[in-house]
Amino acid sequence: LLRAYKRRLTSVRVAVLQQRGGAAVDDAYWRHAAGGDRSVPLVIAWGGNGGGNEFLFESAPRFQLMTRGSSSVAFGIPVVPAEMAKARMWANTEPLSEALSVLGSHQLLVLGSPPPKASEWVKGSIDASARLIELGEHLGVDPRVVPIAPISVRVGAWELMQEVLRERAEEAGGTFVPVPREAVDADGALRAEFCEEDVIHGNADYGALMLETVRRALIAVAA
Amino acid sequence: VTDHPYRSQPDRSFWSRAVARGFDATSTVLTDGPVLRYDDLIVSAGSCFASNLVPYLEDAGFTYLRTEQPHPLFAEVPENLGYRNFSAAYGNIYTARQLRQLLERAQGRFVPAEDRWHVDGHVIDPFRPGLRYPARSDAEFDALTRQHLDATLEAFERATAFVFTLGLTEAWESSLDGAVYPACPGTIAGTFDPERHRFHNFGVDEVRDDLIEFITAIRSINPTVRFVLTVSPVPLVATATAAHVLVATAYSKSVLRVAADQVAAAMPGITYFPAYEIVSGPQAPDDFYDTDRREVTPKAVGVVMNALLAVSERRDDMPALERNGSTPIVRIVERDSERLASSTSVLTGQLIAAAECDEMMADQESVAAI
Repeated sequence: LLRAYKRRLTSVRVAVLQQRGGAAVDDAYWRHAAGGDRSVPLVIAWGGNGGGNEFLFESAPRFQLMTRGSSSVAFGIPVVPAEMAKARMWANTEPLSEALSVLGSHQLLVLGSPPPKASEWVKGSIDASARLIELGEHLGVDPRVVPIAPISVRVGAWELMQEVLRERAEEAGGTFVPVPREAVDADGALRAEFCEEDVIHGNADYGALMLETVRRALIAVAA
Repeated sequence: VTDHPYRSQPDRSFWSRAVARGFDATSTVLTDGPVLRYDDLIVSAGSCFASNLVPYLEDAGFTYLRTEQPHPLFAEVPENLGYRNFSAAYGNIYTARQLRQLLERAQGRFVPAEDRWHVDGHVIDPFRPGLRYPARSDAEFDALTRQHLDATLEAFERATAFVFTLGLTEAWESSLDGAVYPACPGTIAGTFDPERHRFHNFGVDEVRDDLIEFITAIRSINPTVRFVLTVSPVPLVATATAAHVLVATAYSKSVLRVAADQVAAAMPGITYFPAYEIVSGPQAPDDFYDTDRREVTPKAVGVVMNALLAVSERRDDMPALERNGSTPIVRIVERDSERLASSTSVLTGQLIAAAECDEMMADQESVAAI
């Protein structure tokens, strides 16, 4: 996705924050991003593809989220208030708010994070993913033993995260660029044709879709 | 001098010997056996004073039964108004009617006509109006409320000792079916509607009957549970009567005190524990209340709790009593204040975060001053 941006969005500077793994990002990074031509809009892809990682595995005890579209509840599994889960995400995105504050003189667009993948995709990739093993160690779980969380939980968490990203963007006077509906299936998961052959990444077609979404958003903002 | 009944009375019966000098809070408790036992599963409910006992009990090695706690993943996310202070997340229960109705709702015997308020895209629980994270849909509200009531019923069924602190006689209720709210609609959430909401100041008979009804109903599902009744020494934040708040407080505490005594006398397995007298009696030192003469100080709570623990059964390996009693509660209050100050609320934000209980929201000027 990032490669696609760099290759095709020649007039847009892109800042990507890796929350886990990858290059460390600090204030100097954001100051550097903010230091260029202020007429150039900045697109922030917060957390890369890993925004929903902490909800990837089944938690102990299990829980369920009821987001706005939910009308049924699984018997015997505690319901966590959606607003409580969102509050946790809000607290965890405080660094995004700080970053947006540093970048405030630019036109800011905050990109929606990639939707979770269907459980079959995740399970099929789990053994081959050193990244997932590493993530499991970070979260204190063994991915080869602990089940993947139900797609309803992961989609619910992702939807809440999109709300948080939107509110963070608007709080900073920026624009949120949501993932288009055509990217997700009936369960809310990333559609198969946009999935890379791994646990979390979208493929080049997903990158192209988001690129086009960003382009439209920039046009809309300019209008 | 002829013999007379006072000659055989113990020292505690005489003001000169029991209060004027050598006052011992422990001697105020009249009980046939230990008030709490070391292997008790303790459940408590009541006004905010009731929540003060929990850290003391846990620090002393007793088991405080908790059936409704946040999921571990969200344990650090703050909550308002002490909803995590009790065995389940019912928050402060100020009146005996409210307690009775809570059990009836948990058992499905009472379904309030006005059971939710829709406010700014959220669904508010009128019986827990200060919840920091209200539902976002009716379906989520139904699920969260059922989950809460199930956890409440589980606590009531499993308790071996139930401590209830009576707090108020003044309440606001639905004119549709008498459902009692913990706070006047409109003070924390919702909208006050004089067509639907009315004031009620309970009398002794009503409080007594509600308590007896509650205890009888609990014992039908949990026959051996013992009860400890106390009256909160914390004065009213505000009164909705025409009386001065000081006079209204005297009425309220008097009614509760009498009702508690009548219930303890009428039913077996019930102990009246005189927290009210220990804190507010003429023997109490000036620093048992803070400068506003309403807030009970940690020192006073410590004395009350030491008295309670001294008349309770303890194992040899339980932690020693902390005689000044002030450290645990101070630590907890500070921690909660820090957490609350660093976050915002879905509802009315910092105002609710600053308030310690629903009742305080009746006087928002004083909360804003915190």
